[in-house]
Amino acid sequence: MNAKFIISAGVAALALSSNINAGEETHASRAISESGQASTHASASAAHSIVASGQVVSAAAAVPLSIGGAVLGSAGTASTAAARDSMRAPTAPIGTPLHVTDETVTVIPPNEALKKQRSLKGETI
Amino acid sequence: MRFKLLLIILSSLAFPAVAAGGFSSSSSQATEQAHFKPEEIIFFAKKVEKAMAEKGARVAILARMGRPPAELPEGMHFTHVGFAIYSEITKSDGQKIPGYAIYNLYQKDDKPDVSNLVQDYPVDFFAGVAKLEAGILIPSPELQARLLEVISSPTYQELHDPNYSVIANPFTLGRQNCTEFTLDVINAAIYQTKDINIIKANEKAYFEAQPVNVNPFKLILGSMFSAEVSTSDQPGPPVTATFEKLVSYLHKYDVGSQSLTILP
Repeated sequence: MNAKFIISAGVAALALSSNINAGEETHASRAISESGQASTHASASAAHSIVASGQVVSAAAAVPLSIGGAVLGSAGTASTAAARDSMRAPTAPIGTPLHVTDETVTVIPPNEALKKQRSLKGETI
Repeated sequence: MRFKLLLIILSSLAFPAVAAGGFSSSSSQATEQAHFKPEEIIFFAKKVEKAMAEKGARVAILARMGRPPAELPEGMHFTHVGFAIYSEITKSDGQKIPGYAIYNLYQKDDKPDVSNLVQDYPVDFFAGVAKLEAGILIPSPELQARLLEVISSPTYQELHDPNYSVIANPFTLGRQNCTEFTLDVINAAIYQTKDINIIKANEKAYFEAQPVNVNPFKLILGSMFSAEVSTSDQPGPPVTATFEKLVSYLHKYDVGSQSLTILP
């Protein structure tokens, strides 16, 4: 019964959408096709392709550089260690051109982070 | 099995772009496919980063095109926005380098109606785009300074509502998408408050939302079959926040703000 209702609703939706904008059906069909492709190639995500290219470096952390050279805590977390390393932070007022690295950084995938040596900081044993 | 397939087809018909992903999805999600070669993405992401740096932007609002524009409802162009923050980035080898980190609200991979706050980098942000085009909105120096304070404070997390809807109404509570969250953070900075009621009252008074120009029947189907489409926070004709409306809002009220588009 439910399936019949949904099929009817689908037919009605098709009819309505063709009345309103014939072009949308083409796009809908493409979207269905793309949706299927996404399932088929689930392992080849966009991020994996970038990392697999070997042209990016992993970043462990990023801390906002505020005006005047201070390093702010990131997203509500304290970052005293980063603040100590902020001597090179730019002191120019907002609007002055800034320097960015030529390197391309990316987030570290969990499986790669797990390969790194475990930090002993704070451990009791 | 056939029933499930039917549901997928119906939800695709109702809201094709949503059903195929591409809105506030993280690039690491399986649904985010690469449409360009890695070197094209890397070059483009660096071009965007350098454009923001040339303007001296400590904070910018960055937008990407996760879906081809022809598949989006009228008035919608960019599909995801986040904050780009000029940062000191520590590489995994300990070396510190200057660049931009992106602060995003992303849908969860396994629960598209739930979001997380995730920090990544420009190349991650653009990894799964359908078109290499970036929108950049640079607030005035005063607003950038205020945004830095908000984003670096607990208020940033407190303004996040994990209940996601791709067409979240920016004037109401209960559902939030990446653009509404960005708008809330902007107004927390403008009004120097973390009181969401004050923020919403001012958004209702001064922000112009984008009507969601989708056939009402399709919208009902979308909300029935796509978890990330909800009309529960839409008391009237559905409206949502877009990057273009954020640009209009800041150009009108934030003197000194500027916007630009980056193409390959």
